Amino acid sequence: MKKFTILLAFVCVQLCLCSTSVFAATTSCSLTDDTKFVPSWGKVLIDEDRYSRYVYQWMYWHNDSRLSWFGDNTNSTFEPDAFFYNYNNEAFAEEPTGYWASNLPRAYRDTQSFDSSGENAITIGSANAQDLSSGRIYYTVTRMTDGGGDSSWVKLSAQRGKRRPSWCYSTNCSFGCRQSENNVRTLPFRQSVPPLDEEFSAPGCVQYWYHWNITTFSEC
Amino acid sequence: MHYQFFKKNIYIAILLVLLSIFFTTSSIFWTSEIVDDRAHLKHVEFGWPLQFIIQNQERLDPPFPYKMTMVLETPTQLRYIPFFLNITLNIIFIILVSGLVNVLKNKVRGNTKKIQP
Repeated sequence: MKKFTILLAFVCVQLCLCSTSVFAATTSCSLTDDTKFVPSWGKVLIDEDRYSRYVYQWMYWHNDSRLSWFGDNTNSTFEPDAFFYNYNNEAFAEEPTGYWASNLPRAYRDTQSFDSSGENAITIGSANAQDLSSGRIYYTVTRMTDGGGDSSWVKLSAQRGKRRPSWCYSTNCSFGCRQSENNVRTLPFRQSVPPLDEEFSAPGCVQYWYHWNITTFSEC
Repeated sequence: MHYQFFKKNIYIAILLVLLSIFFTTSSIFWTSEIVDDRAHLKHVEFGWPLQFIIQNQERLDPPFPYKMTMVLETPTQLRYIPFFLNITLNIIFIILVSGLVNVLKNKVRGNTKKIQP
């Protein structure tokens, strides 16, 4: 009987783990559009020094309306993701490691659990996006391990989400929204971004203006 | 005597259901779907034997065709009817497999007894 109880407990734990990972990976959010949570301006610098490769991101919302979804949701979270193209196993970076910093409210370094292996996500998120202010430049920086290549395409995106439960501020309690728009590309992969002739590849530096009069890109 | 027999069967039934739920749920992590274009990314299905999870993986940019697997933090929908049908089918599958194992075990035991002088 003791063995049976242990087996039952093991199955229950496995079951809970599986169900949690399946059904809690996303959360239900109110509908909104991209101009209510995506930064108006952003910049990314990806390079390496004698210690490791690193990624810096800066972002800015030019008025309160651009942050209105975060303001309306007390338990909102925000993740400015940097994705390194890895479908050919030649990404510039693999995973975040060592030093990281950010002035985002309640910043956390995101986990890569169950991410697509084709796109390596390097993310420092905010677990309290309601405290974001317009007219202020926020930054994130993290060191990262080498991927398989010396250069790769990079994609930036802005993801909105919520904390579940609301009192928990860890990376494991931040879930992306299930409803569109939930994850908006601010800098796409494999696409020439006017006025630049070519795709943006790491290492390098690029900045974007998203729906700030127009959406445009330029080198730093 | 009757009570013990009933209690033992209840435990076996609970174990069967739990095992089946575990097997059904875990199938979303070892099944995949090949997508050919961007439109297909909006509707990628996982699960075995019937597909019961639908994901909108539009946020990904794979080269086509590409074998997509389950990814978290993407819009996900659960289809309840195929999910519960899978649980039932897997219970039957587990019963059949355990029955087959028992038959084989008994055969092997029988053969061993025959060989003994």
